[in-house]
Amino acid sequence: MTGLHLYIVAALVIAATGLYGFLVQPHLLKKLLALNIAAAGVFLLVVAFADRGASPDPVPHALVLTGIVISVSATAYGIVLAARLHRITGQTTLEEGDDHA
Amino acid sequence: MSTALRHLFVIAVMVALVWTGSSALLPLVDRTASLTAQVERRMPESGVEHPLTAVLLNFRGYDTMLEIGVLLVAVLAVWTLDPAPRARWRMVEPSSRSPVLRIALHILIPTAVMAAGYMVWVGAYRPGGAFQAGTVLGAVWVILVSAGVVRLPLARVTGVRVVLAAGFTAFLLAALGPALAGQNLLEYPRLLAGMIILAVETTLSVSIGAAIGALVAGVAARRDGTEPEGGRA
Repeated sequence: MTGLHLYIVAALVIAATGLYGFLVQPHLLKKLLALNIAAAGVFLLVVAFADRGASPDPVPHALVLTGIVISVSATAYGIVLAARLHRITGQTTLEEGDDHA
Repeated sequence: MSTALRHLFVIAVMVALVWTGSSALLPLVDRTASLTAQVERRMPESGVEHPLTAVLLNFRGYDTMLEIGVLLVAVLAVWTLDPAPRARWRMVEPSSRSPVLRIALHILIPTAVMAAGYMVWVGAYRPGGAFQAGTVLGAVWVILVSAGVVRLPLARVTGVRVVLAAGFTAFLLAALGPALAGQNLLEYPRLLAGMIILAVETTLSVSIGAAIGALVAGVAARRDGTEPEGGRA
């Protein structure tokens, strides 16, 4: 197993960990954090595949840069939504009967 | 389903995901072709010397242009959640009287702005460019908000809207110009490509800085536009 194989498996594990956190955690901010971790795993996967040949392939790098900016935008929007929900209802999760003030 | 059972089920699904993904992707390592050679071949007509900037701003400029659009849509989405739409923002003295804070701000902010300007320029020759510089400018906004120097978020003042739209507009003009002149979309004329890219990148970095500032500063905490005492919203 070369280093590149290790990167790909590690990237998949990170993405799966983030996805697990997103599905299992009830707290909204933790869900957002888990999504960011999953995104980091996916970016690592794409960048790992850029390492072929003598010099790295710049096209996957450009795609990942775009992806990072979009994940920042989506995270910011998610945080503002969660903050609004908390300010209006006092809840920090989407479950019924949650009364964390 | 009990919580533990639910967790175990999701873990099992994730393990299956990693297994399937690995068995599908690991054999591809030796088989796929890379685009490095094609990019290298067309570098002379890109107008810059760094392959990543050439790909971002010239060869795949369409993706970058729409990415700015996504950033602006996120700012719009955050602003729709604003409970105090008419609040105005103002600069105040830092809430803390610590001299360390004031001196740090006096040194840090101009240095950061200068670093952002350098990053835009050096993007043609080394890793850098509009997004990196724009993020530094956005970080300047984060510092100002965290230090309590800026009270209230960036409200919908016309000047802020102009700055936010300027980046996308510049990129759109650079993209449509060749199309209106009879060539394809985003097909920069070979001799002007470097200058077009630099002009678009500079406008873009200021725009991105303002957008990140608007996203991070968020919206007002209360209906009357003020923030609760003793901390951020």
